[in-house]
Amino acid sequence: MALLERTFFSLTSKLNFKGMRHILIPDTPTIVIPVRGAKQKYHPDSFIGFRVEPRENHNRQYVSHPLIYKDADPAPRFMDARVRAILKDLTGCDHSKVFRHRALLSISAPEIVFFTDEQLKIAQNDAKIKADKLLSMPPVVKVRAEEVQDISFDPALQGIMPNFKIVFTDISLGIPDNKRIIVVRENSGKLRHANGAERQRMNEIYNPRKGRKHYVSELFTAKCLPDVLARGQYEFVLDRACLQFEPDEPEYQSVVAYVYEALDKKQHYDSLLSTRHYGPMLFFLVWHKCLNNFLEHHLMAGRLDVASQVVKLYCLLHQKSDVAKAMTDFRDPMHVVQTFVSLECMDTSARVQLALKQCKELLRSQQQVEQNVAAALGQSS
Amino acid sequence: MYLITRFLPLPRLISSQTLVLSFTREGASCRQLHCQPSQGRNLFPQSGLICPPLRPLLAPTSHPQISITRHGTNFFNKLPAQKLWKGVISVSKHGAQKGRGRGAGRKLAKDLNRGQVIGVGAVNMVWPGLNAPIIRGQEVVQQQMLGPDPDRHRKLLEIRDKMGRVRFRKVNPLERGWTGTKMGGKKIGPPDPVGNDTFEGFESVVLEYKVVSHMRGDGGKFRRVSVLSVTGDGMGLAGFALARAPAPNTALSMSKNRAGQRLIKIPLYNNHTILHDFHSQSGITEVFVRKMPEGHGLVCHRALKAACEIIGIKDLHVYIKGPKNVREVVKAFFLGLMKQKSYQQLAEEKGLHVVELRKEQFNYPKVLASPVHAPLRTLSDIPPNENLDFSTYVMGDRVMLKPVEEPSSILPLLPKKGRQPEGRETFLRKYKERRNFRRALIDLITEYGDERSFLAKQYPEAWKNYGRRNWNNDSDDDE
Repeated sequence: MALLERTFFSLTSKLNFKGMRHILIPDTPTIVIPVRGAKQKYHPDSFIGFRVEPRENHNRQYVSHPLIYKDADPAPRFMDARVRAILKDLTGCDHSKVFRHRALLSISAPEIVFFTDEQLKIAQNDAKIKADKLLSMPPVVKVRAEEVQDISFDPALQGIMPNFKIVFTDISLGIPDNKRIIVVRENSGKLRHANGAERQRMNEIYNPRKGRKHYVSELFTAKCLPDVLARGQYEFVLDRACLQFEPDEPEYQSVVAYVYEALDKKQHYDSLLSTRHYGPMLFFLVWHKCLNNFLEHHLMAGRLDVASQVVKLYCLLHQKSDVAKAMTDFRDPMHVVQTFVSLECMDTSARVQLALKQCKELLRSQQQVEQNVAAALGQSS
Repeated sequence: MYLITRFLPLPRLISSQTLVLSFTREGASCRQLHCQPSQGRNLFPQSGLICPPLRPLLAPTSHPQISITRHGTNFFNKLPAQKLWKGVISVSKHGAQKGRGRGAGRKLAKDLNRGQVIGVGAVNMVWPGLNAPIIRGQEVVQQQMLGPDPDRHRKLLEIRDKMGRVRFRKVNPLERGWTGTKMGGKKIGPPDPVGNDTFEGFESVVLEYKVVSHMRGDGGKFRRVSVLSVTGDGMGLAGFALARAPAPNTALSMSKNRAGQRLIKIPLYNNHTILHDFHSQSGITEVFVRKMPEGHGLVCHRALKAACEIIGIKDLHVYIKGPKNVREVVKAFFLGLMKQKSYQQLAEEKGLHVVELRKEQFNYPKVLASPVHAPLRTLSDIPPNENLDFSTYVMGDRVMLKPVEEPSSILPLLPKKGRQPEGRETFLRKYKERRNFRRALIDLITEYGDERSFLAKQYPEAWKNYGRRNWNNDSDDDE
């Protein structure tokens, strides 16, 4: 910090407002100063003060959703190998969907090659690795803390720049965005760490990401999002949200929760199969205990294994729940689901119980058909 | 007397007073006419026609004298109409040799009587026995005047304006062929049915239409029309043929019918392009045909483009080496299409998998064909000098000479080496300023629905649509 202070004092005389550019930001007017580490060489003129003003669309609001990860931190559970194994298993990996045709800026004719068996196997193996990469799930973490740490208070610097606060950003190379030192000198003379919005804006200025917009896109507002979701473009919205936000931003978690809720209401879970968003979606549903629709959907289709896996996930995430305590053996899926329904869904949803009954009948009739086929083929079961 | 009735439309001069004329007569034409309302004789003493009291049409009643004067003689009142018209429409001998007075725009004589009906004139009268029955039902129809018809004169002029010029039928721009005047590129419909077999969904297009001639012992120069056309169903079934006949229509129909008898099935890739690149030759004309991705379009000779549209190929690039004689080019192209190998065939030939890699699918290896009859070779089986490059293999080890690319004016120029006449450095310096223009434009349109910068709020005149819509009241407009 001492370095930053020193740098600032040496620069106050040099600050040349002619070179300032206007940048739009959703906050009070701010002066932004980049600072480099002591070891790195810099040209004295490379310090440019930016005057940053509130952005034009600052009235626009992202959708808000109450179900964001604000109390307990889900990250340790999400990183648990057993949890990830279940999520990955349920996501599936349908290559025709993972490697579907994607729009590119330039088009080129498909390349055709001659492959021996070994070369083909290598290429297929590479594709598998690529698929794993494409299906890697966006992290599920706790929403970032809003309170910021004060560093010092210097009454001598009170009102040094009237009507402005001054942000110092360490723009040395090789520092990840979340580790970068960003401090703010308030007009009152207080020096503090930058808050989340300020950090995000500064990182965006000095380390822009391709495809990330500095204004609030209309897509994420309550005006547009329902229409887009009504068209079933869940994956598009989730992809855009991953591009636009950091995973610990409350805006990200709100948008994502909004999409999951819309999807859950319509039971369009299959649209996210074989995508990177299926795992976090399922984690969200289990974490917030909104499993009625999910179970109903899968039991009606006779997918008992999926339902039992989800119950297993439930026990891993809510280890103090009655189900986790009651469940000792996960080998019989019917037993697992039945226990869960009797303990968790008894008073919340009659539809799940109905679906379970239907699932049983479906399985019985399937068994009957198999027996009949076996008998017709002359095999004894 | 009869001259007056001929030259002057009668009702025009009729007034409530007695119409009196004094006139002199010279030769066959009327030279001078004076209408004096106060003196003279009855116009139609013999005819017994009773002129009803009418509103004066030409002059007010208080006007002392109406005078229509034509002085002297000239060709206009001496010559008959036929000769007058000849003066207007004829072309000199020299002009006719040059081709004047032919085609569209040629002048024709007008029939000025067209649109005129006996008994109907500027004054809308009912004349029983002339333009109305004498007895209608039980009643005798009375001579009477109807209201004026204001459109009559305009309609007459319209009818006259339609005559006098040769006009060609309006043809849709898509049906005009390559040039509009020649037959090349024009569509001539499906071949005629043979017995019960009809060519449904077929279309033919003329690739070459020319007059050819040779000398004959008995009749001298013998001219015929030679037509090369291609016919097809747009789904890979197509044929081409050449036919000659003395009459153009005969040659056209002969050509397309013959093409209909020589159909071949051309395998297509995903119904939009060829299976693979190929090289083909006819005479000394060589074609290098390249398979292209969806949306690329047909980039080739216009005759091949027309043929591809008929075959059903949508994306293709053809480079022609040697003379671009249409017959040879088309023949070489069709030969190449016929000689395409299926993926299975290629796999059998090579003893290897034929695999497709697409950039837009993250190069996922999609196996198109694997050898079934031939043994699948391993790397150790393949001799070191064998050509394993698919593209050169199917091209028969030939390499196309790539023409120099011209900078596209539509897409933003990508800085490529050796493309800018001004030099790469200068280009890059200039290009830096506008490299993001297109992306920024798209962003603005997504954000505001229009091309407007952030300055437009403060300075509305900075917006290109300034004055057309109100910047501040956008929401009001929408409502």
